[in-house]
Amino acid sequence: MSKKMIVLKSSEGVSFVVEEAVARQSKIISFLVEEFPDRELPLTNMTSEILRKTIEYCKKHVVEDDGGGDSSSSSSGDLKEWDVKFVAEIDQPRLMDLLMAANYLDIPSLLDVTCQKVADTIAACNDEKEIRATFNIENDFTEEEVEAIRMENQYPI
Amino acid sequence: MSLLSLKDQIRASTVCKAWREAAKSVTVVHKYQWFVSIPTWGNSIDLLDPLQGKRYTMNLPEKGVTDVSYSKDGWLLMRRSCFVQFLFFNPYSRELISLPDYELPYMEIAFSSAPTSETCTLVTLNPISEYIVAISTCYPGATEWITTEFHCSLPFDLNIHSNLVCANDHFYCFTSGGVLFDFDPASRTLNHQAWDNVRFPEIHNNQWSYRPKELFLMEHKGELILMYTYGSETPVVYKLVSSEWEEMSSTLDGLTIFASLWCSETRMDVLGMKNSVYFPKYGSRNNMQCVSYSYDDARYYPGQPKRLCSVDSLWIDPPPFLR
Repeated sequence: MSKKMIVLKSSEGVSFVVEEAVARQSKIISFLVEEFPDRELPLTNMTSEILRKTIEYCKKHVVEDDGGGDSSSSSSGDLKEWDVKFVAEIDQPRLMDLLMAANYLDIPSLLDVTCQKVADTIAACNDEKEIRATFNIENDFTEEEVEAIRMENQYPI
Repeated sequence: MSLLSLKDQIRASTVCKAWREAAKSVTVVHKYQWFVSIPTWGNSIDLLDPLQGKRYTMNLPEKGVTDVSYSKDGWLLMRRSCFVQFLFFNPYSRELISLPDYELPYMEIAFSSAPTSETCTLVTLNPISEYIVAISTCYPGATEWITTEFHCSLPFDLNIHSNLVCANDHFYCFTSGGVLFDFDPASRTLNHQAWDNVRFPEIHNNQWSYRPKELFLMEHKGELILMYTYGSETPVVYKLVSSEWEEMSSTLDGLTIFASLWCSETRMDVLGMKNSVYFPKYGSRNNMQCVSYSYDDARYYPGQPKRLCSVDSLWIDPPPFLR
């Protein structure tokens, strides 16, 4: 039995051929497949690299229907371990892109693991300066605002 | 943001404006009180968020602080181990305000508002005998305490009486004989009034005289609220309406009472805590918890308690970030 394949196209115009079951983990793609069957789906705001990563995640998490009921391709413990390794290997800017992709494509489990990784990264920073450096954020508070926030939050906790 | 701990949420909110807004959107406003444990030794205090069960340990600004005597508007009134020096401490801003030495004994102490406010008044109450009550007052920045003795025509019950509480610029204390003492610091006058329907020995006929009885006096929107506990029977709550004590309906009308032996607070419509009385209880270092009585369910949580209040715990406003 041949599985139904669909084609996703990245912002660089690279086409990825994916099994439908894999791609359907994205609620957006699931919807588009039904609306526009047999058509290439352009994802213009996603680079090939991020799209490849997203597909890699979806392949691992696909629930295969082998006729004898639903069975995941991996046990949940293994999957968790795999998720941790998966996000650990991604550098900071790409992690943010992947998070945005998960948000855009509406893949809740991928959004959860990427958000958790970002939260862990924030928690691992020693102060707000380190957070800004890590996430490449500009400090847009004025001196007075900084002082006011400092007064408000002198938490020794 | 919601995945972060409170500490990291606060830190993240200082990164940039967008993150500050994001932090605000996930912060749950704590309308309820936290409770603070009083140190028996060492130089730290523990704060507990009773709903989330999280505990925060904070270092005190100095060693040798023996106890916390009162709490209001996020400020604690503490006492140094030499016993004559009181100081205000704000655990969130870590501000410290010293007070002139106070060398007299006292039974109850209270302050009206944050010591940084212009109207802050401190009052101690010291019954010398049943019919003579000494009251001392002080203000942040004052150089001494001023003491006045009052002769009363009604007795001050030395054994069972409430804490002191400030409402409408007056300080009140209730004793189990049904007498309310009312001190006006502006005119330095002490008035008292008695009610027959709230004389507590009569309510339970003193069947089990060994059971601990406690009176808690508090303020809600300018009105006085009185609570009487007797062992672990159902707490009885009264409200002073037009000079009469009315027993509150069995649902407490949406009120939450945060009771402690030193000071008690009331809040209206606190999600998940309505129509209940909360008592702080502090056991060993790892056993900080609340006992509560729910009027909706007519029972105590987590179970029927052996005793209601610890002498070493009281309530405090949550950090300003959460208010």
